[in-house]
Amino acid sequence: MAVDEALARRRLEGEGTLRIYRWARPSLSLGRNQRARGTYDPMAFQSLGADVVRRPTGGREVLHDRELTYTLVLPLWTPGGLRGVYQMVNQALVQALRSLGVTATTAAGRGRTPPPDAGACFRVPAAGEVEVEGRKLAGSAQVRMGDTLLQHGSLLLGPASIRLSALAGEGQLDDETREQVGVTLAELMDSPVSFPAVAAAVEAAVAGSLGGRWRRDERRSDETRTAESLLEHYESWDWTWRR
Amino acid sequence: MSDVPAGLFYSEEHEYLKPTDEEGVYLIGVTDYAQGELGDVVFLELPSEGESFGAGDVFGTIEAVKAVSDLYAPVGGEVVDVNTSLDDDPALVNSDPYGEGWMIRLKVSDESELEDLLDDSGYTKLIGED
Repeated sequence: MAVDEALARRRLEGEGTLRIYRWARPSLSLGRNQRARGTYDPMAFQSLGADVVRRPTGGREVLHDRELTYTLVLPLWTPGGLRGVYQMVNQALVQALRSLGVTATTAAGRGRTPPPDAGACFRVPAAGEVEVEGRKLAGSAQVRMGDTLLQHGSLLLGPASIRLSALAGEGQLDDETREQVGVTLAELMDSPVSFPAVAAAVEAAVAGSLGGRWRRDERRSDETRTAESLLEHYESWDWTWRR
Repeated sequence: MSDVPAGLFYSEEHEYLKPTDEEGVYLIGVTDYAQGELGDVVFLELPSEGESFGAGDVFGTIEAVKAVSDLYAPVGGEVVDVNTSLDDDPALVNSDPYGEGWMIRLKVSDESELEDLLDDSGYTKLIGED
């Protein structure tokens, strides 16, 4: 999270960044404003060898395990603004998935957007999100930082090795409706697909949709320094368990 | 077309200041145009009574359709009241932005800062609906 925010804080005029990564161990990322205290049990993460972080972006919790995470940093004046980028990236993910042989679509609107405490992000596709036959395959959330937009997204590659309910406090999340029940690429494809193959497809589709010139680059020293300075914030109990 | 009432002050960051019966005290919220662009508002993080801000300072955040944005104080002043109804019903920002969807009451420290803000016709031009 510290690196992602640093990429946004240190964005150069007229530039943007796409970062694609996976997590070292099963990890839960909480939406910036969702309630976690009283729902999740800090000790459960330790005993299962899982991590928990709180994102700077909105939305609800995502269990990162056998999935691909992307961070997209763009100028806010990108045509269409917040919602334009959201729709464009989702369309790009649909293209990326089609290039892998998966027929995904973007979801139609289903009434009012649920609040951040309404259950795991992958429960129900929000309007415009990537789904296959009504089951969510990719989720995303955004934050605006000054004149910069940061979008986080997650694409499920396979079934998670732990359940959300195992990370919850006693008596919490016993209800099946709280589990992360999206569809995964592994269920949709005849043969297993590798992380690098999916990453390459996402990279090509996002770069193609946004246009402009893209180059692979190392993290700059100012980005690294900013990330290091933000680490304490993202590792702090006060931030992660603030609600 | 967005609703841009006369008699209010508007910022380029799409917040409004609405005069109250109390001298130097204004209601602050986001404009009808802003709520339409943001979409369904699901969460607000607002300051506490007694906090002070300078013009352009971040006074809170708003989350709508999974996007979090900062809220900027159009002018400096002290928060004298916070709309706690938004804790339970943030959608008031969508349904009644200039009425029940107000966010904070601000006692403005220097009313000359209001001169830097837009009136209804200036704001209508800003959002390209003139």
